[in-house]
Amino acid sequence: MISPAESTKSIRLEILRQDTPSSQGYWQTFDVPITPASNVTSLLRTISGRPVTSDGRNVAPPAYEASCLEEVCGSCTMVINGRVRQACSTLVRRLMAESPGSPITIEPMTKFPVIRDLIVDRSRMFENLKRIKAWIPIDGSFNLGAGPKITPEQQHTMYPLSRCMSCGSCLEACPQFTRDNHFLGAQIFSMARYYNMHPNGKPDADARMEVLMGDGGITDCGNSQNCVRVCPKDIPLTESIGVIGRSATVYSIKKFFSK
Amino acid sequence: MTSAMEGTSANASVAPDYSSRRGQIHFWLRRIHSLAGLAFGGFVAVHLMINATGINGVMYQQEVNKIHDLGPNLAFVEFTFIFLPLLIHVLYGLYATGAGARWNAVHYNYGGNVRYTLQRVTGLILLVFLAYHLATLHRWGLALIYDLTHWRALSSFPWFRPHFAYASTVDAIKTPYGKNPWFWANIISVVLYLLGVWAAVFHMANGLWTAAIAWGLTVTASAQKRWGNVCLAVGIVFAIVGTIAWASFTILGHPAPLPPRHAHGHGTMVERGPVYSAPLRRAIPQLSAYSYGISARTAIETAGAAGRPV
Repeated sequence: MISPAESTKSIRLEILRQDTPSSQGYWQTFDVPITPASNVTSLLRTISGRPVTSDGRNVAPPAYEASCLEEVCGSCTMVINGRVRQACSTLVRRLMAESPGSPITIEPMTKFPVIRDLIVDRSRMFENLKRIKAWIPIDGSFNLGAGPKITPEQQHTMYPLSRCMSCGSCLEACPQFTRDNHFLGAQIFSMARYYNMHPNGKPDADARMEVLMGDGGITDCGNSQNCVRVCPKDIPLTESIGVIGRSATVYSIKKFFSK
Repeated sequence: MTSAMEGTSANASVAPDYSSRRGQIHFWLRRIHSLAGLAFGGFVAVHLMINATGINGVMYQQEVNKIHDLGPNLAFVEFTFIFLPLLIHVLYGLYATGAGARWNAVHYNYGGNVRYTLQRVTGLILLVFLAYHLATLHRWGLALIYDLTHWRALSSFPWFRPHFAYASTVDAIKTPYGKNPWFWANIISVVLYLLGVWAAVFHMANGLWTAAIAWGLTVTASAQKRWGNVCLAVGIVFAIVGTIAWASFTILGHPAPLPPRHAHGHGTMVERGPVYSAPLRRAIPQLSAYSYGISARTAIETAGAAGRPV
């Protein structure tokens, strides 16, 4: 927490606010003191402590999400200066270097319904994970014993995929993913690849392919490759898209001739 | 995740059926679109190479003769290997471009995203260009309308005449709207052709790159980069070939006098049609010579060398 007394500089923040899921958005401007270590979450917290706009009006504090504060939970994902990123790991110092002299703009993600201010409803991602059976069947009514071994090489490929925190950055930046279509998006293709690789997830691989080749599936990828550029966890998303494309080619031939 | 907020979810609309038949058909349409693009891209590559021979009017005439020697089969070849793939590619391409995508290359100005946007923009440019190109230069365009209606407004409009290949192409591209090449409408025609050629080459090279990802040929980032370099090389080569073709008929194109369309006693349909009439065939060398300003003797020799009855 930054005490106003300690700071010598301040920065202007423009926040796109929205009171209810169905109401219109509106912009509000705040002047916030900063320190060299400020990040966007810390600015939002400062505003919450004293929610007064730059023209001196007392307002309700902007609603926002933040949890881990170390870029592993994805809850504070928002659009900052026109680009999707996590508020906790976005340093104000860097933003000022990116666009010197201009205010910082903060908007909720545009591809998901807004609940309030900067909080969005990302349950579409969770629903999609369920559709592709993004899990592995484990013990049921009795112990299935130790699972098959995974080689270090497989693990080397799978671990980066497992880092996905479902923040939605890949979907926010994707020109093919919109609020009113059914596109599954890079997150799902990568998770499907992960579970198709997993020895215990393989039995459901065909069921996953049916979903991935259906409405809103791999067909709708336009290869802009924004996903891999904005992914905060450096997941090789476009490689996953290539893998799913290859699996779809093989599966479609297999299905055409033998199913 | 805001699963706790599910109660307030505004997107809990109709749950999509991801494994629906509609989706499966869409998958196949997308793959056919890709194959159709490859087929049409192959035609464009050949087309640009043949037109680059326009640097030499005689050579160009020989290439055109080879094509028109297909006779009645030409229409079949054109429809099956050019127009059908083009139609499929355009129809699905328009659908995919318009299907609710949100272009965002301003905020996310990565190379891949710029190419994604350009692929769609060049597609739309090509739609306009091809409509103009086919209407004015293909025998199924304005020429057919003229043959069917004898509409006077079209009677003076130049179009491609296979027996006077070089001169009629120059006329139809460089000076379709009067003899002055600096007339604004003529300049627009010439610029549209350069834009069309470059848009086609970009669309073709970038399409090769994305097709490899769609089919799963290139998977890793390094494989995509490697194949990207091949596509870049293909694009550069065809940009050069295409620019030579364009220059041959525009900035380097020298207009030559063309006989009136009915000068040799045949209707325009016979002259332009895939079927050669024997008397016309005999008349070709002389008429060709007339059109590209070389001696009749050279033209006859050329035709003889190409194994044509003189």
